[in-house]
Amino acid sequence: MSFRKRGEILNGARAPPGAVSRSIPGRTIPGRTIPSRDANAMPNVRGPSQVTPSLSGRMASMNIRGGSSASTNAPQGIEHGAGDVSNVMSNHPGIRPSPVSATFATSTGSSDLDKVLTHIGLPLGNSILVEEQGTTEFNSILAKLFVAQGIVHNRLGGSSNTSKESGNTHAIVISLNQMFGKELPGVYKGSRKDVKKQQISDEQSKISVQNLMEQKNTPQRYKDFKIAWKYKLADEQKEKIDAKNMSQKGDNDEYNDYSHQFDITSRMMPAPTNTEISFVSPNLPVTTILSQVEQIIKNQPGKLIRIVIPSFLHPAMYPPSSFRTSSSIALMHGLRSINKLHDDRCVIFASVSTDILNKLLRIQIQNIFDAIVNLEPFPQDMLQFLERIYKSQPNKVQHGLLHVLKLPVFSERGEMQVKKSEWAFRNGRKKFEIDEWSIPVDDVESGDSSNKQNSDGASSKHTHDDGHNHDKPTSDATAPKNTKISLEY
Amino acid sequence: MSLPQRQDLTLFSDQSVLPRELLNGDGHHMFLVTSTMATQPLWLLTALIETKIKGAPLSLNGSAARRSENPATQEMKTPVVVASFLHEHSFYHQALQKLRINANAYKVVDLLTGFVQKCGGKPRDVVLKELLEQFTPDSQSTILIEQPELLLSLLDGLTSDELNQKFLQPLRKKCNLLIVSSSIDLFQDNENDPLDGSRGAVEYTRFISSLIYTSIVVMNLRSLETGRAKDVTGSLMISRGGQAPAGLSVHVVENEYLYLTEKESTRLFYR
Amino acid sequence: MASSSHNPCILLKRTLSLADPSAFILNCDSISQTSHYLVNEVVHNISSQATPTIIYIAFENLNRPTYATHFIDVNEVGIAKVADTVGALLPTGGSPTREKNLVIVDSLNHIALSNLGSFVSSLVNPHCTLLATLHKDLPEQQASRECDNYPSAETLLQYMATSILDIEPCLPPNMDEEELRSSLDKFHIPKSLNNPTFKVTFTNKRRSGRSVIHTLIVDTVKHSYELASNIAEESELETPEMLQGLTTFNLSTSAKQKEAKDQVALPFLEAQSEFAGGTAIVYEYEKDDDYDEEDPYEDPF
Repeated sequence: MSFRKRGEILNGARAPPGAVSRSIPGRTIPGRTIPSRDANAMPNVRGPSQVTPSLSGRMASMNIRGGSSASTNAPQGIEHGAGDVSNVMSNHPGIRPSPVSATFATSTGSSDLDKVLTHIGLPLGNSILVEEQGTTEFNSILAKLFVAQGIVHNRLGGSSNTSKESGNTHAIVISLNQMFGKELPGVYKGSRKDVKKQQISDEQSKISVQNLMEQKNTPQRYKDFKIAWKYKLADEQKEKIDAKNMSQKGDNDEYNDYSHQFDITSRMMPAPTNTEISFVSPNLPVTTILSQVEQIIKNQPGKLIRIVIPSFLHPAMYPPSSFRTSSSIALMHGLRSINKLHDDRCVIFASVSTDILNKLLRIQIQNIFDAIVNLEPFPQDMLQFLERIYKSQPNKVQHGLLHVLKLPVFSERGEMQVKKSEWAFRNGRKKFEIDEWSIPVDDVESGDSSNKQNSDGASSKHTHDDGHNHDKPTSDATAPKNTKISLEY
Repeated sequence: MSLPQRQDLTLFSDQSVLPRELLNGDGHHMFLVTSTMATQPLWLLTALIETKIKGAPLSLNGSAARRSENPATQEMKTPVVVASFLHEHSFYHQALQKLRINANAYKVVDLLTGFVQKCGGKPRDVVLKELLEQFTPDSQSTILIEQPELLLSLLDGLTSDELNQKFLQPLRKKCNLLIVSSSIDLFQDNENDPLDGSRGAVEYTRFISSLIYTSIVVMNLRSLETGRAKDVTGSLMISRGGQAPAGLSVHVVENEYLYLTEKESTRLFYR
Repeated sequence: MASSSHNPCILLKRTLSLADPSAFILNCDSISQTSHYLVNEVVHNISSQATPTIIYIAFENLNRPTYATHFIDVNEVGIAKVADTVGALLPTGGSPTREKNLVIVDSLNHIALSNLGSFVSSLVNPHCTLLATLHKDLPEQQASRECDNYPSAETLLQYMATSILDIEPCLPPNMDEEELRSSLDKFHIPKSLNNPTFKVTFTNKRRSGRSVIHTLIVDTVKHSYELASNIAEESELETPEMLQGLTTFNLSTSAKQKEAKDQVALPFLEAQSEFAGGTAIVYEYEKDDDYDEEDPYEDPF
């Protein structure tokens, strides 16, 4: 790892020609420690999570980057690119053994959701249903992440965008919305500090394995008189983070193309083509849909098939007759059958809004899936409450609760895996985060929050009985304050 | 903390799960297993199959000594058929393999794979008739069928009575013991989420009720009302069904067990 | 009518022995207590006499009961032919004989509402008694348009029946009806249901046009019937004996103590009754109240 090289790049205060990072332009580099992070981050962006499909482009950027850090990434890309079709499944970057069962899993596109599913992903041959209550649309984000993750895997597998044979993953989207493919998020390219830290540590962990020699060398800057002691401190800290990440991620390096981070404000470039995504209209007779899906799977031998049913039964896409169980349940049953038939290379993701389903239909749909998570977005006043509490840490404001109703493999074995209100989710620009839910402590404001009645929403400079008086008008539908919450959740 | 004492599964007054008298008689009996998606019945169903094949639910009772009770000659003689609308062939095959049950001792009828494609557009009567043809009549056999109620959803316009008359009753006649496993998720959480009176809801209610009226034993698996616990998966309630085991000297012993399923094994114990 | 028939227990006994001419006895049962034991009781009562013809018409059951002389599987025979088949098995013509013939139907729930009336009336015959069961808790299928304004199956059958036996379980002491209902709605079947002893609400339509309703406890093991009200009252009175042996403390009250206790005038008793239900505790926060918002247990409400 050459400090001097980094320095050169950074002195330009912009990304180097081959490594244009669209999320960075215009951003000023605030401190002295940051540039080095930036430098570390950038090769990484172009390395393992490389989206650019053309190999030559990659080579070009390597040339520009030069140095050892670039060459560390190269072998991996080439390896996947060269994988022959029959071997794709065993070398598939998006498939890894589940640490908790004798199955192989693939990432859902959200590493936190992977974690919640306990298998670090969705086991092959299994299906997941994401339910959502209310009018929010978090489920569609998860659906897009699920597809985008597949596309990224496919491109890592050397898809050249034109030939049908190359690549390792194919997505089947059952939707009328052909724009779906163009709305997929791009891989997150970094811009915020914490992400950079993450990437630094990723980068270093790679280097530590692949370029042991390099790593053992004391970075040149330690020897350099001009470098302040701060740098060394910073490096040590990085090492700590690094170690932490290593232990968290386990065999991180072996599967570092397994799961990617996506920036939902960006778009995947280039947009996926029809060699990567097939669309099947939900407006056809059930047997036609099923045979089309079956046909597509047959035409994509050796590839991982990700079947996605975004917004199942959305009234804009599905005619009223699809709500009959003989249509909706038959479709789900048929897809389950196909999934189990190809259980070595097929997964299903479906999302649905529970508001449009009656109990009969909802339970029936749930019955057919192997895994179910239910998103329960917080009501408005709960959000306001959280925002108030986490005034100083806005990225801690969670958007709702995530209930687990079924876990793949374990639930069908008879284990009781219902986890209600144990998790909370937060949809950020760069990540769909899922954390353990805990009732926030209103320590900042407990003393001076207000007597305010519901009329004056956010303002507060009163005394502490807010918790109750404020609730009264809304408490039926919502759970806005902590005493209330602790009882309900 | 010591684990509570392991209990044996018994359903009848002669301490058995499947009394000889019942299996050797010429009646047509029915057991019902009701469960929810939080407490799925695989372990209980495989234990029942195991009992039929090996003479006792060895996987549950965990006492190897009982092995001597069942002569090996008992095996194979009485066929067991497992049919599921929800799980593929290999699912049961793997589960039974783990109990070291010889794959020749049972037959799996996979009613999941390709069902919709095979049956799409056919009249209901034809579909039910074709389904029945997959089961060979044998007055000594046991048939286990998982979630036949799915047919109410899959076949347009099928009613509970039709399903009973044209599928389950003839199926009962084809065997000595029919074990039906049904999901009762639809009827849970009534307080917060009552079932409407739609046609589908009525048919499902009628169907499950009729199953209870026609069974001699009802085994209900449910999770604890207090939610998830590390040391308890749920409770297994054994209750009498609507029919008494006519012509048998044994009767059903009502019981409530707690059970813990983890690492692919289950143990029963008392509260 | 003899005076003995005014005794509800004897009246029920006569009905269950088919001693009183009753053309159509309707059992209304539920999952919690099926008519199984009651039907057996009737069979027991009549089997002591001359060999009766018992025809069992099965909609649900597939096993021929040992007592049945004829077993008709409706699913095989077809519902249209049931009445003819039964008719052929029963004596025809002439005046009603003294012989007790019984036709049992295990469930009337599986007959389309539009056919129900005619089905039942086709089985009612001077030579036999029809003993049919209706499951109360099986929701009715949505009727076709032709049955607009037609009564529900339960109403229809109760109207047609000459005796109605509404069967309820004797609940174990730790359960009340509401609990039972909510369990059964979830198809969680509690223990100790479907016992040989159960409660029967017996409606007897008399020839005089009067109808008498009694609730009795039927014990099908001892074959004894008893008025339910007697038993209920007995168990409600708290006797000193009930408190014996529960603890080592003396919980019983002597007659003298009890008298003294009854004479104590309780304060504000009147005030309580006057405002009962109309009051509430209103707690208003004041500035200096020390109320811990985070403690859920400190909620004064």
